[in-house]
Amino acid sequence: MNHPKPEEWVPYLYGESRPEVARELAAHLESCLQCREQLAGWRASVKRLDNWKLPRTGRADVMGVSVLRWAVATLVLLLAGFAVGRLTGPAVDTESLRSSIEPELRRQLTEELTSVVRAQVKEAAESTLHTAAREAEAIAAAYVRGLQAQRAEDRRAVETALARLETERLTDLATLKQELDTLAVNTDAGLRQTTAGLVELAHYRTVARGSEPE
Amino acid sequence: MNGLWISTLALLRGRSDEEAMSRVKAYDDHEEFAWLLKKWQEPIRRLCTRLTGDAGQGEDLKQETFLRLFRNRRQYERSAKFSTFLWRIALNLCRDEFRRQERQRQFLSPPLDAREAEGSEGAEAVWEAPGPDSNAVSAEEGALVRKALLELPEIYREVIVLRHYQDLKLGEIAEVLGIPEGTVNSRMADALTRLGRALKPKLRPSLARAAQPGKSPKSLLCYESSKT
Repeated sequence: MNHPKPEEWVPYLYGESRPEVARELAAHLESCLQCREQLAGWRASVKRLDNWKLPRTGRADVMGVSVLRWAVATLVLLLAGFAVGRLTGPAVDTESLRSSIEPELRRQLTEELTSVVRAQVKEAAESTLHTAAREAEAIAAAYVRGLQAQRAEDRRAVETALARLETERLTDLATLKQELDTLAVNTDAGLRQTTAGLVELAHYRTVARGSEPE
Repeated sequence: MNGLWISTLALLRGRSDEEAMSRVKAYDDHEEFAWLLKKWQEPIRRLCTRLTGDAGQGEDLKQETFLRLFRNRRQYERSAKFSTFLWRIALNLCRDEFRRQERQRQFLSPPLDAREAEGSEGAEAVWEAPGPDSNAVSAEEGALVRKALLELPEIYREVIVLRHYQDLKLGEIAEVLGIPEGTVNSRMADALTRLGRALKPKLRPSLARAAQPGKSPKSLLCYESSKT
């Protein structure tokens, strides 16, 4: 039996297959236990995903409740007004009355709703932007502190390196001086030895010239 | 209820998200931005929370998403769908967060073996001792689903969260992720298979030891059997 590919079942699972494809897949399902089990497993997993619930944010709840309260209060007032009117006033054509006041009520309701929601939205936006700005400042301050610490560390490293170089330079200078002294002493000794040799040579020549026959 | 009021207000205003964003782009219109923020902050918070598995991070990423939306307002094209533009910003921020967490985990976390041992012990405890209260059971089940989702690779978690929790159509998911719809379907198929494996009920060791030959294996499923 040729089974549809797993990816072909995904739109079917979510009800997004084209009708003719959905019909073919449904027909296949009736005769194929393997695909039925696979799809049942997926459905079970999808169903279990619903168990991870997130709480709503406090702000959204407050806003929702306040708008709801306002709407309920408006409704109660309208109903009360309607009841009082019905009980105390003369019989009127309710249809024409409703059609005459409905646009005005609708307009007022829209305006008031808009202003309430706009005020709350503005408050929410300002609060979010304010929080974001505070966080950005904190991040910038932390970044600057980090930079300063890094710079101080770099400066210490450079100073240590310079001190080490200076020590090495002084050591090298002392070694050089000592070697030059040794060289000078050795040279002096050599010169003295040469002079003595020359004097001795001159003495031999004088003695030799005196002993020659006339 | 909140969503209903916002939809009603949008109808009364007679202006779409795209028009509002165009005004934000052209005139830095703060009122329009506030309106978009109000309308979209909850879906974005939920997306980020589902993807990161952490409510605090979800809130932070939501704020960062709207900051980035305002910062990148000039890049918005009037012809593009606003929701797609916004989902993409949020998804990219979540992906950046995953990378950051991954780097942190590489340096800070205990070795994999230790973590696996710890995780399996935790899961065992959950399966071993389901509370009598149905809310507690539901919370445990929710925690298991959250854990299973967070253990899925990012590409699979994204399609599941966008389709199941954010209720985007498969075609819309393809648009948001910038991939062909066929790829979305195949990722989703893999994701559901992996998720099924991760959520597969485990055998209670004590019951498994006591199992008699020939006894139905279904009777040993400690969790599913208690539910069904």
